[in-house]
Parts: sequence; structure tokens; C-alpha cells
Amino acid sequence: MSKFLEIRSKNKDICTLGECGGSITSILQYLLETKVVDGVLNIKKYDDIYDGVPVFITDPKEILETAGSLHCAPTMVADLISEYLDDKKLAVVVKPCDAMAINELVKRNRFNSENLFIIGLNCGGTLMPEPAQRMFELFYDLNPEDIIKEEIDKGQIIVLLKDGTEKGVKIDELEEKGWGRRENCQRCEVKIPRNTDIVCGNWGATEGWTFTEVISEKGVKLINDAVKDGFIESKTPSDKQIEIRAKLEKIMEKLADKFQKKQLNTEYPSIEKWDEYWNRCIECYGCRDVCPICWCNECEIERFFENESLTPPDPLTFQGVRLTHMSFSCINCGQCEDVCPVHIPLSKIYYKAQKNYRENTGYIAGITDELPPLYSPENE
Amino acid sequence: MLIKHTICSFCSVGCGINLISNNGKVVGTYPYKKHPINEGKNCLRGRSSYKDIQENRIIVPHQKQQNKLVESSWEDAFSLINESLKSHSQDEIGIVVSGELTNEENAIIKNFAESRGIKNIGFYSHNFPNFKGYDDLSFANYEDLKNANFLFIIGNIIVDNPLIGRRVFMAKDNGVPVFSADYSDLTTTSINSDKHFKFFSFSDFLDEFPNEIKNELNKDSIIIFNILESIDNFDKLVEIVKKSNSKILPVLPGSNSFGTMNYFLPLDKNELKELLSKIKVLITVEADILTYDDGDNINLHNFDSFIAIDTSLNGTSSIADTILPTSLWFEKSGTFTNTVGTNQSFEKVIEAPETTNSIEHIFSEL
Ligand SMILES: Cc1cc2nc3c(=O)[nH]c(=O)nc-3n(C[C@H](O)[C@H](O)[C@H](O)COP(=O)(O)OP(=O)(O)OC[C@H]3O[C@@H](n4cnc5c(N)ncnc54)[C@H](O)[C@@H]3O)c2cc1C
Ligand code: SF4
Ligand code: SF4
Ligand code: SF4
Ligand code: SF4
Repeated sequence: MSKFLEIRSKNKDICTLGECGGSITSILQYLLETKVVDGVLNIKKYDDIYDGVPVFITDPKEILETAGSLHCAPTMVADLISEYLDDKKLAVVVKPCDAMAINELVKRNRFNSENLFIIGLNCGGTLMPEPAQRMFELFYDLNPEDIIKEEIDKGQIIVLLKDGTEKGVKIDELEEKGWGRRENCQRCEVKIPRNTDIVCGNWGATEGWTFTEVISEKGVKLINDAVKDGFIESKTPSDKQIEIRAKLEKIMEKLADKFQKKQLNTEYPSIEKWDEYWNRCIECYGCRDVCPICWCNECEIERFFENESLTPPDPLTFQGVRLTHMSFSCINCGQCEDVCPVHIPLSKIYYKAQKNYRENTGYIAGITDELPPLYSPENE
Repeated sequence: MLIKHTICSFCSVGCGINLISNNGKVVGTYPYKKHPINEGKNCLRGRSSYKDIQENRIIVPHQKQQNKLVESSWEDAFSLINESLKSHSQDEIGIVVSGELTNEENAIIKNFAESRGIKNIGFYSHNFPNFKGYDDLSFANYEDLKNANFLFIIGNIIVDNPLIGRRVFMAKDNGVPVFSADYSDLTTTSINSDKHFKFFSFSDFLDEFPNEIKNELNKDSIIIFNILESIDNFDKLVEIVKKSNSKILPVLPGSNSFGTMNYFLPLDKNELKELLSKIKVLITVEADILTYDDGDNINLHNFDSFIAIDTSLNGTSSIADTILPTSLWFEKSGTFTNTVGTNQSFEKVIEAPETTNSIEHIFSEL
């Protein structure tokens, strides 16, 4: 089988419901109907397009409700697998950050990847739902409720309205003014997650098809079987298409690099600013609890704060534990920052620490196969 | 595994939160990033309350026999209660609810009380009065915090109600000056304020309200507070607010304290004690009265009959003559009204245990 394929659903409804030909939805349907997996973990609209929430689906009929990409859904699913679904044969749809978190957890023996089909998505980034809606009001002059679909294409965030019209604004312009994608997404350098079984995306694809890179043996068999059973069809993309995709990946990596320099160096908060940030910390452990990597069995952090008192805590001690315990494994998913009630730009510190560690040891969190030598499981 | 939206039941800010259920049990939380109030951010108490409220859960009716609580059937419990309700006049019966019931449950209880002519009914509001009596006051909403030009905080809001604290920081980041006052000198709120005032008595502080703060107050400033020593404090504060035309943002204790005021009389400690002294039959609805005590003695032992409708065995329900177990917040649907008056509905996350009954059912049997 060719490493690169274009695929789409053979079911007309799924074709239209899906983002780019509904190939993923049909592959998931194949896996459920043939009982190759017990269930599927992916993202579904809860109330509207700004409200994507992870769902665990076992009924193949329900899988149609999950078709389509939600760009205002900065979700994380890796920890859901290790907490609740580690005993299941599972297919999971992942952004690069989810895939990297899975990689880190598998390396820590949190669950077994043999039971897992990992279907990756190329990812240009996600937006926070509330700011995104304000942005559509301010820069698009639209009522966010009239928008039925959003996509990131050709450097623009494009929305589709109920009445069929489209409107796009350049991402650069939005982000210069402090809107657009989450900050960690702007600097995210893994755009095509290759630590998966297959990766899907629209880059380089023919309209109505998904461009797929088949990574693993498991991925090869998955595509073959889904084609054979009539769920999807496939064709081989031209060299030109492959080239376009590679080019887009490069462009996005460069852009991420530019943002990294800005966010982690030239505009990195000063020591005084960090002092101000730490003063805000209410010691809610939200950042730790949401971090897919922070999985010490017996967290040392709580021990620091056993006796509650009126005096403000020393968050530096707490963040210090996290820095030494996990920062080398930070995959820049931004979840810690998303949930911090007092707006501390946490993922900047952790990702900066991983980047330093990477420079010294070559260890790339979420990608490198083995855990770094310094890592000692006794601390876990 | 199933993730569902709900509204946090721990405090009156009204944050959204996702609960994770697995095999019919609530086992965790997941950020609800689309919720306009908190955008996926929750404090520790909000995230752990699903666990805390399941502690000492009581799921079958209990009755006191020879000073010991023993399990009973719903039929026996109802017939005993109904006997005692029948043998007392309406003035001898009292109901104490809490600020954590849904508006729908409040309506049911109010209906019940009215149809029986029961007038001794109310809830402990931690000294906050009914806002209805203050029509000419200007109450701030969360959006106003963004456009304020000065914030004055009384109490440790940043720690007690962090998702209002978040908006204080957003204002601060926009250059809005923030002053604070509290019993303590060193709190997370105080160290994040431009100026902090320590007081020993809230009342005295309001009597000698510092000019430094007074001079900053104007129509675009907001006073945020979550403590009151007495209803008297509120009136003093109102005077200061009216003179300066500023807005207030009172942060109430319970997830539905605001909504409950639309149904029942908010009581301060003395009023609650007075109510209790007048009655012979007490019905509490998820009201853990003994936690309101702070050392002043509230005696719950001298009733002819004490019926606790509750979800758990706590200090108060454990001394009741009858305990009727009801649903936890995530086992029911309904609405809460948050501290700025926004109504928010939420759906049941899991089914309640079969041996419990809803407030609606319980009051239909009484
Ligand atoms: C946030 C995001 C950004 C993307 N950015 C790019 C890009 O820059 N370049 C590119 O080539 N492709 C990108 N894609 C992939 C592309 O949009 C399509 O998802 C892909 O081509 C598959 O199309 P399909 O019709 O086969 O998928 P469908 O059959 O429509 O299935 C889509 C699957 O994605 C899942 N999903 C939806 N939203 C999310 C989410 N937020 N997080 C995790 N899973 C989700 C759904 O649950 C569903 O299983 C992005 C996708 C997402 C979700
Ligand atoms: S961190 Fe990277 S992979 Fe994750 S949502 Fe943002 S851009 Fe996508
Ligand atoms: S530290 Fe923050 S950005 Fe890094 S992996 Fe953990 S949650 Fe993600
Ligand atoms: S989430 Fe923010 S406030 Fe909470 S512990 Fe982490 S840094 Fe502190
Ligand atoms: S601030 Fe209040 S409503 Fe919000 S999460 Fe915390 S306890 Fe819940």
C-alpha cells in the first residue's frame, strides 16, 4: 500500500456530514460494526459548534453525530483513556497534542497501546470557545449563533453561515490583536502527528477527500479492511498533492517557530511579572489535575500544603515540584493554562523547560520512543 | 464513560462544570470551556464537591428508636410524620430550607407550606437580606467588572469565590485599581490589592469608613463582598454605596441563595433561633442547621418531631427523629439563580438511587 492515500466515505450521508469526505467517521463505523473495537473515543458537539466534548461511543449508529471538525474545542482525551477506558479495545481520534500525551502515558505504562487504534488529525490549532464567539462579533460583525461551521484554511479563519454565505479573516491579523488560536497552539510545532496509526487532514487533498498518511502496520490493515468491507474508498494522490501537503507542514512549522521565539524568549514574562503571577495562585491544583502528563501516584504537592492557613501559599514550591517531576515531558497542550482560574500563563514555563531539556538531551516529549535516562519511576 | 454539562453547586458564582460518570456513578470532572461564566476554569472546591457530597450518603429512610437511628420503609416514615403533622396546629410546624435547593424544589415546598397555612418557614442566608427590598440599589453583573474604574473588595473573594476573583484579575490587567478589606492582613486578596485595610469589627469599619476608599468611589466603581456580620452591616454598606452612586456585587453563600430569596424569607441567626423557638415540629430540607452555629447554641433536641429531608448523615440530620433521603444535585434537573441573578438550568447527570425520593414526591406524600 502506498504511504499516502486519499480516502472518503462510501456512504453519501457521512460524506456530507464529515469534514473532508467523512473518512474518519466511516472508519470508526467500520471498527464498531465489525466489533474490532469495543468503543470509540472522539469529540462531539454538545450544544453547538463551540461546545465540543469527548464521548465514548459503542453504538455504530451514534457515530454519525461525531462527524466534522470542531476548531473551538480545545479538548484532551489521553487521561480519559488511562482513567476510565484502559480495559477497552478502543479507537481514538486525536490532535497532535492528544497523540503526544498518549505517547507519554504509554511510556509510563498507564495503558497498553496494543488495544488502541490511534487516528490522528493534522492540526492547525484550536480556539477557546468564549473568546472565539467574541471574535466573531468583533471582527466578523456576526452573531456567533448564526455560524454553523468554522474552518482554518489558506491562512484564514473562515466561517459558514446558516444562509450559506462565507466570511474569512486572516489569522495573522486576528492574532496580532490578541485573538485567534490559543497561544500554545500558535507555537505548537507538531502539525502532523506521526506517532499514530494513520493521520488525516485536508492539506493536499482533493475537495471532498481526506489526505491520509498511513503510519503503522495496524494502520495499513485498518485501511485495507475498511476498504474491503465497503466503508471507504481510496485513491493515490499525485506527487504534486504530496508536495503541497509537505509544503504546508513546513510553513506551519516555521510559523510556530516564530511564535516560540516571541512567546518563550523575546516576550517571555520577566521575573518580576512571574512574581506577580505566583501571588495570584489560589493553590487549586487545577493545573496539575488537568495535566495529562502529571500522573505521580502519590503526588508530593499535597504534602506541602497539608495545614491550611490564612497565609498565602508559596506556589513556587508547588510549581517547583511540577517542574522537576514532569516539565521534561511537557507536550505544550495548554490545558493547564486553559483551566487556571487566575490566568497564569503556565504552559509557557513548562514548555520552555521541555525545550531546554530537549536541547541538552535530545528528548522530545511525546515523540521520542524511550523515556529519558534521568526519569526514575520511583518518583512516580 | 459519559461527560455531561451541569452547574457547580458549591457557591453562588454559577460556574459551569462537566461531570464524568462511569457505570452510573459520578467519578470526575472535565472542563466546561464553553460556559460563559468560567470558560472551563473551576476552583478546587467546585471540582471536588461531587466527591464531598457523596460522603456519608444516606439512601434509605431512617427513624429514631430508643435514641438510635434504624432503617425504615417509606410507608412507615410517611405515616409517622403525617400523624405528627396532623396532631399539631399549623403555627406549631416550621420548615427550614437551604440556599442549595433548585428553584423548582423551592416552588414545591412553598406551595406545600401555603396550602397548609405554615408560616414559620425560611432559610439561613448568612445575614444577607432579601435584595427585593433594595430596588433603588444598582447591582453589578460580571460584565460590569470589566468596565469598572475601581474595585473595592470586602472578604477574601479571590480564594472564596475564585471565578469572581478571575474577573478581578482581568480588571487589574486592564489597569483598574483594586482595594480590599478583611479581618486578616495577609490573604491572597490582600496581597493582590493596591491597598488593603484590616479591621477587627466589620461594623466599626463601616462606621469609620476610610476617606481613602470613599474618595475613589463613583458610579463606575463596584464594591464586592461575601461577608456580613449582621443585616445591619448591609444597611450601612448601602448608605456608602448610595452616597457614591457606585454599584454593589454581593456574593451570596449558596448556589441558589439568590433564587431562594424569591420564595422564602432569608433569616439571620437571631431570626432563625426565634423561628425554632416557636415550633414543635421541625422539617429541614437539606439544611445542616448546626453548621450555622459558630458556637452559639442552637438546640434541636426539644421538638415533638424533627424530620430531616437530606442527602447525607450530617450533624443536623443525625439527630432527627426521621430522615428522608433525597437526590443529590447531580441526580436531578432544575435551575439555580446565581449571585448576579442569572437563571441557569441543568440536567440530571445520573439517576438517583431507587430507595431515595425526590423533593417533589416527598412533599406530595406529606
Ligand atoms: C481542531 C482541528 C484542526 C485541524 N486542522 C487541520 C489543518 O490545519 N490541516 C489539515 O490538513 N487538517 C486539519 N484538521 C483535520 C481536518 O479538519 C479533518 O478532520 C480531516 O481531514 C478528517 O476529515 P474527515 O471528513 O475524514 O473527518 P470526519 O469524518 O468529519 O471526522 C472528524 C473526526 O474529528 C473529531 N474531532 C472533531 N473536532 C475535534 C477536536 N477538536 N479534537 C479532536 N478530535 C476532533 C470528530 O470527533 C471526528 O471523529 C483539523 C481538525 C481539527 C479537529
Ligand atoms: S496544541 Fe497543537 S495539536 Fe493541540 S490543539 Fe493546539 S495546535 Fe492542535
Ligand atoms: S504542563 Fe501544561 S502544557 Fe505541559 S503537558 Fe501539562 S497541561 Fe499540557
Ligand atoms: S491552576 Fe492556577 S491558581 Fe490553580 S494551582 Fe495552578 S497556578 Fe495556581
Ligand atoms: S467559584 Fe464557586 S461556582 Fe465556581 S467552581 Fe468555584 S465553587 Fe464552583
